[in-house]
Amino acid sequence: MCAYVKPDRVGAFPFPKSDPQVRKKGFSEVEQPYTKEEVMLEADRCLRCGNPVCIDACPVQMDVRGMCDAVAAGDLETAFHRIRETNVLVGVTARCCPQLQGLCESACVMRWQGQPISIGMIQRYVADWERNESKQPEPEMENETGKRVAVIGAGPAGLAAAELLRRYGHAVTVYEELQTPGGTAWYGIPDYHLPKDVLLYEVERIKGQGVEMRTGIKVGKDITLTQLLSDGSDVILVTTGSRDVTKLDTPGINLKGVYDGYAFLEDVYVNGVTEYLKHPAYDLGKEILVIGGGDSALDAARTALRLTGGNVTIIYRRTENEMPADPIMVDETKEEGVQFKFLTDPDSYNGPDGKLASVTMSTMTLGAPDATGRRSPEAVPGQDFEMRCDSVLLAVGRGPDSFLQMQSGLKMGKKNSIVVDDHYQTSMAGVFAAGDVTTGETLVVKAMGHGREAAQRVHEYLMKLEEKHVSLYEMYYSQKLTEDSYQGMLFDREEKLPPP
Amino acid sequence: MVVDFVVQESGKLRITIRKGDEKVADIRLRKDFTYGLTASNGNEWTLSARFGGEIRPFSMAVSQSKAHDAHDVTSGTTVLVIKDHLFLHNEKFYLLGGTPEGRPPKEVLVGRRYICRLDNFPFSELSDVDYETRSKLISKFRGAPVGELDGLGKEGHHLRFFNELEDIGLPLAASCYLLYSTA
Repeated sequence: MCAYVKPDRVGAFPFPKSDPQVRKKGFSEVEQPYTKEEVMLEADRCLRCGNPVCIDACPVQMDVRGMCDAVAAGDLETAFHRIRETNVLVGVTARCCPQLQGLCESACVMRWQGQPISIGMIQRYVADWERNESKQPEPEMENETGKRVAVIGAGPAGLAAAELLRRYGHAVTVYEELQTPGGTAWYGIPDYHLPKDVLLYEVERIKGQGVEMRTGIKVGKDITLTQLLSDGSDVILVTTGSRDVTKLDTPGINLKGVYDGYAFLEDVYVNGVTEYLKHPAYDLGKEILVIGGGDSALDAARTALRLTGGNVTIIYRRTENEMPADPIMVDETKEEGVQFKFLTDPDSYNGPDGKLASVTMSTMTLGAPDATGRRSPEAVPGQDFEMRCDSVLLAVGRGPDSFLQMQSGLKMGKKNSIVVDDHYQTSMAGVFAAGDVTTGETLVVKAMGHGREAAQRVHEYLMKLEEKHVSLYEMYYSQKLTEDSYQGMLFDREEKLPPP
Repeated sequence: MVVDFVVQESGKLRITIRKGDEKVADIRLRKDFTYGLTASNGNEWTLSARFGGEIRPFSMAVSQSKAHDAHDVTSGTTVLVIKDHLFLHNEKFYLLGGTPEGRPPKEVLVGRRYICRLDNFPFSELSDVDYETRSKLISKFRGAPVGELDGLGKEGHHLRFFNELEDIGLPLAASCYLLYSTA
């Protein structure tokens, strides 16, 4: 062990949490913040690498190293501006990124010596400080270009793209179907992960930069792409995200009591939990089964638990080892008392008078690996069994929201995604697309990164700079080779390697 | 594991690669920000973050710049391309930092990284791997563990792997060091 390395995080790993017996009765945050003293100590564990792989692992190239260096010195203002430069949703991503699952904390070299830096917690502290104690000015903007961009969809990809385009000096209007911007971050991420005031504050900041938000407008129904282009938009960027759920044809799936888990989450959170509690739309009963193995299945289960106080069981057809869900969230879910039943798959939904009463389950075993390398679930003959239940929430995956491409004739690919070329251009001239509607469902921060890369292409298209294209990562990379802002920090560490 | 390299900083911008107690190669930074990998037997490689006209995170191209045996590998031949943690070798895909099949994903959140061979991977070329697949490599894909990485560069970054990766062992060890362990 290196003498200069402090191997363990300040506080619990992965982060301090509220009491599960208390938190499962409400929607307050699971993750508990650091104090100022704690956050400075944790930030000071950072080695301030010459080659900060944490930034490489961040889809928006957030300046993690610069943040840690400033926070360790108690300079929260500098820390905020460093991370805000490329991350328009600092408070949101601090809370909903699975940092240890392939992102910044997973890349942190401290993993070789113990526990990676608690980057999400530090970022959260900085974002909360700015929101609650010291509002900071927005980053500088370039002069107005006179160009107009319409962004369709105010989810993470759309917001990140709109903000970058605005900073390039373009007039940006975001069209959003729902009354509140935020997309998945608004209606798909429960309050116990992301209190909505955090998101709304960051949306207001974007509006404050001059991005116009027009909510309650469904493009493709209320207005067409052609109309938008003829009404003065030079370019349209489509970022309508994921929405279409995977269709299943299990017998009995249309019984009352079998619900779409994604619609359930949206209905609970779209107008705020408080509003939902005044007029609950779902009669879940006390015995609830949730089908699926991803993060949305966990969220549907935990939301159902909070709403009903009932017995909630997640049904997954493989074992815990094959679950795609964030393992940190799996632990949280278990702590709250949600049960898991693995190697089980619904065979039929049963009930008299059109109302669900039980599910016939197949017992599964794992066979040969499939294309993902995970062993395929196979039903074991003769080992079906019945599980009594009041309701079922289905969360087995969803694909791109296909509405707009269906309406407008944009070329579609896998799962009705919008097909784009390397320049993020669709089959229609002047129409670009990015985020989950092109890639399939992914993380908030990955959608943001995709949105920003598309925004860069849109900017180059508008300004006739396409021949000089430079990706945002390459801009960051070139900067880190030459920049002088870290010279002081690196002065005593000149033996450190520059990036490969 | 049958091949075991240790890559370690040995001074200002100098890195050595050892196999057991024997130094087998070193890595030097060049003025054009590529790295030169020189083996004791005279083989040399160039490691560059730029390939295919772009620079990407966790990506590297290694080409032979001087061949000990010109009949074996010609100078200028690209011997390894890592793109977004993935590489293709002898028509098999490998993931740097994957989750071994059958192991709890929680075990690989910190500490040792595994090199996983992705059997049944539904692509034949690295350039064909789409965004959706790349974005789900960590959460959904599992592989057969054929190697492992461990350790901070300053202390010695260990790379161990099975024979199937031996012929690209040095370029792989140097790349893993530069991509994952330098501080």
